[in-house]
Amino acid sequence: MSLTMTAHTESPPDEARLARQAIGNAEAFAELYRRHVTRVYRYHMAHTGNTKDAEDLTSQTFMAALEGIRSYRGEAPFAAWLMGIASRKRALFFRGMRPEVQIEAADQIPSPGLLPDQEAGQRLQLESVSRALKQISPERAEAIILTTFGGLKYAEAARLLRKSEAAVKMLVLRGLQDLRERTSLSLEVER
Amino acid sequence: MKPIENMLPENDALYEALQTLAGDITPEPQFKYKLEDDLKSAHKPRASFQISRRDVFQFAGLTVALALLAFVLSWAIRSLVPPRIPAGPGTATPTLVMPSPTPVGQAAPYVVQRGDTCAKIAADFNISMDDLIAANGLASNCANLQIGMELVIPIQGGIVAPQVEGYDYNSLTLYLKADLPSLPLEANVYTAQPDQHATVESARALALRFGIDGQVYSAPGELPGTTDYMVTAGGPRLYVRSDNYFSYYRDYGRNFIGGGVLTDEQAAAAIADFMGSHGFDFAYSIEPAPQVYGEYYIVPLLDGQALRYDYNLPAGLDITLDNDAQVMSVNGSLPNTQAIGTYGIRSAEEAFQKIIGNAEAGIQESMRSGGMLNVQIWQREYPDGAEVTIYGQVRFFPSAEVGGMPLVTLDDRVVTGNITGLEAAQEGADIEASGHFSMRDGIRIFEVDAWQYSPAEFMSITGTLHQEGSETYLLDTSTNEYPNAANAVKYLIADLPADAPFDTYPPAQLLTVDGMVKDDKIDWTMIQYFPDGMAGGGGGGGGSGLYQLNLSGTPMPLPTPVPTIPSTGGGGGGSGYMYTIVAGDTCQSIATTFNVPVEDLIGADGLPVDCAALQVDQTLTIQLAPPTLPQTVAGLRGILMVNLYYQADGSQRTEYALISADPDYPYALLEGEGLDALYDYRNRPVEVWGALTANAYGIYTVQVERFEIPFPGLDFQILKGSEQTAEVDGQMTLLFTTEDGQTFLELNSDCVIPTVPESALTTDQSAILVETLAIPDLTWGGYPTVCVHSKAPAFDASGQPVELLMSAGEVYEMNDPATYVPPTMTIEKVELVYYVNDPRFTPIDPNGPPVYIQPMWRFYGHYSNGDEFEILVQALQDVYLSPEIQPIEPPG
Repeated sequence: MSLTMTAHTESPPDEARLARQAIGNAEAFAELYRRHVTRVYRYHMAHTGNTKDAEDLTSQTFMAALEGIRSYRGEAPFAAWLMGIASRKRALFFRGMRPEVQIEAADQIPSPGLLPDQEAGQRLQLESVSRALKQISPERAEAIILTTFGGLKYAEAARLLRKSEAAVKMLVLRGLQDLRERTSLSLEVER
Repeated sequence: MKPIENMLPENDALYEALQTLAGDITPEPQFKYKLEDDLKSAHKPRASFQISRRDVFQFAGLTVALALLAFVLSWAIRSLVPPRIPAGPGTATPTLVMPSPTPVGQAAPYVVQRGDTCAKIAADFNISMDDLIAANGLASNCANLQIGMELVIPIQGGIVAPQVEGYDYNSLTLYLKADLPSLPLEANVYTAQPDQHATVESARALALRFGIDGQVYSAPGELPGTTDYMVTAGGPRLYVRSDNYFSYYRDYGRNFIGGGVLTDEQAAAAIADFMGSHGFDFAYSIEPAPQVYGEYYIVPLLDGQALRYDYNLPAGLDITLDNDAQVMSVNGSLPNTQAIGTYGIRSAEEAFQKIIGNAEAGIQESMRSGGMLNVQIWQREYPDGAEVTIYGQVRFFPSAEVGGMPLVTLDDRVVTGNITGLEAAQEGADIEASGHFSMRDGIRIFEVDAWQYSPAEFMSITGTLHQEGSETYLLDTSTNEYPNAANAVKYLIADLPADAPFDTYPPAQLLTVDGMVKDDKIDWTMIQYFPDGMAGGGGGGGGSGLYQLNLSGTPMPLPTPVPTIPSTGGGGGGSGYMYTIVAGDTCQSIATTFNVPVEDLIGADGLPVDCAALQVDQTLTIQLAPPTLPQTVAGLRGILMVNLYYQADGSQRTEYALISADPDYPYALLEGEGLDALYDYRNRPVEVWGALTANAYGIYTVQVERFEIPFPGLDFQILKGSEQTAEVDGQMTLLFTTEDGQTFLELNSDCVIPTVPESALTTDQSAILVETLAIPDLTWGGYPTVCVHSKAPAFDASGQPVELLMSAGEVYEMNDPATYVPPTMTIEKVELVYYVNDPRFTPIDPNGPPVYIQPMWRFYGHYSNGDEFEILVQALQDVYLSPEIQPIEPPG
């Protein structure tokens, strides 16, 4: 029996426990880190379009999560809590540092995260996605990024965006429409 | 065509393509490994983190979540969610705080200050040192006296000081030393409206209000994906998102900390003058900002009540005055408000009852380190005309005006001259430029003779300055907060300010140096020194969340509280869970939930409840047998943890603990003679025999009579192989296959919980190294297991083999929390405020649900250690609240 019986329905059952352990145990935090680093990195890649900034923001996100792990109360899935930090870090980054992201400059930076044979094509795709997402409403873009790159469920993204689950689906659908109609984004669709 | 509401993004080909693309992006293993390492290094307890009893209580009844509680003891801070622990029935009435057991009377507690010694305190209060030591259980040499500790001062002659009334609030004692206002009885609810994003014209107009008659440039937007404007004529800068959200800097890039020389009257006069002369005509109150001298919040008043955000921050203008009361900076956050109606509110008294009654939701608590932040700042200055080299990140601000030239800055200084080619540099690139400063049209600019991409790297280093022979060094102490940083990385540093402090003692005294690092030399640009260290800053909120508003006119019943644990003492001594019946409950369903027989459900009359007459909102007491624990354990096996505590007097204490797979006591401290023989078996299995006890905090201890090392020769190994996910016993796990084809299931370092696929280092089955322990008879789902301590990719980015160093042998080091005394809380001010979540980073969607600004009762005060707290209670009556809980913003 747990004190709060409603709390952890969407978290993997051991993440609340891990988060508690992580307050004092580096290994437990490292385990949470390993589970979630990919989604955080993808999220930042989608926003920044380049490896260097995505790595930088991923580091910042986890350092902040480490600082704040005491305040994680288990009422939201850990992933949603973490992506909230990622989202704030990203907001501060774009606020304090750079104007519209340097897509062209990002061309200079290799993306070793991708496999060599896929690299060129996917880097171009990612850059065009990142650029296109900046041309639609930030909230719709964020909903798309959180649910695709961030790997959040609609319910989790909903908590983060302070919306209902249905509203998040709407944001995603409208965002996809915007991407089609208002940007030159085209991706190869593999069935 | 299907209505859009019924469509699923999953059916959208573009969505699918995005997901496919996302799935192909993975961080480089070397980066993952490095960051994991950095996080582990950064994961150190700090001296200022202390636990309150309520953090411990959170675990007291939780037999499932006790693992590693001792770490928590040294770590948790008050900002953890307060568990809801009513003191039993009747908490609504004040309970007396029990006097400490002293042989004589006592006065109000005394909080130990910097510079105090036992002798000094005893002398100040004219008592004997022995009495002081005895009354407080201090060590005989007073070595465990700590700043912030609360001491009982025994009074000679047995005169008992009057006892102060206190309340039990989450196991801390809460004093109310403020009047509870009886008015108002109703308040307005507002919505925050989207603001009109700035235009070139509106930005220019706002700049003129600040006396800036300059060029308008594009600047990075405060909100993601937006562009703001920056207006400057040189020194002063104004960043404009809208007329409501802006930042003004009189001398951008120069940090200023006032010396606290202004009186409140001088500050108020300067602020009134500023408001009048800059066209701000809203009603306001002034609140000094915490920690920083010269910083003030100008808080807008709605119906005479302050408009505030979360994290104990107000809305309005955040203004910094220098010692001459000149405005140095202004940060504006002025939400557009629109009144939507007037509603009944609860009284301050009712709100206070919610606090001490440990209400489930509708309350939000936050804390912030108290006291003023003592800081000295030195910035590198260069004389006009002298040939110098400056370093910094380059920034470009495109002109927002027709035919305008972009603004280029280096380290926030406007540069001109020979900057040909610089426009091709990446925004934020590190540049070094030689040239000289000069004044032109009243603006200080840097005239560039030549520039290049800097071979140096910008770093911000925490450390200490140290003279060795004729050379001066900056020792990096960031990875070693203990004094003997013999192995610290060091950098040559020169041209220091004459009054820069040397040989400071981190973390009690904190020094940070920013600058460009090349070849173990740092060319500094800014030095900050915190002689009293840096306290933790803001704290997260407590509370289970706020109710969303329900202004529909149709009341929705709020949920009844989830079961809470009775406190172990004080206040009436409940002996079971309180549970309030909700619609749909039956005796059987409740009994099943709590895993007790139906007969153990007790009604208000103290008799077993009449199951045929259950009523919604009826309160039951559920008699819970205390968990039946064996008196002794025999051969309890677990993984041994060893923690090393540094004590205030510089000595060390070693703590042993066992993590077992037993769900009833997954974490138990080990006590007894001869445990030091276990030291060499840390992170390895041991078996213990002895008496098992649980203390009031729910921490288990084994008095070890004897122990055995089941596998004395067991050692950590570095294995090379690859990992892949597999479903084992219905659970997704990771399987590790060694180079010679042996397959193991990966467990966490506690050897209990299987690792999950998300924690895989690689997904392409490339070669990795793992630091593991393989316990011979430990299987999971039929697989042999390895307990994983660390992982690394087998090859680095350039294809060179990586050497994974053993880390399992390291001991966790931390400062000793043993002498901690929980602080008390005193409410000093009770007021009605208007509240909204800080809208600065969350754009308000014109088409989204309304963002409400609602009345809240704010209880503000201090912990006895000087930290501030505020407890906000939703003031709207329950009929205007919805059972839905608002999402909580994470820190960032």
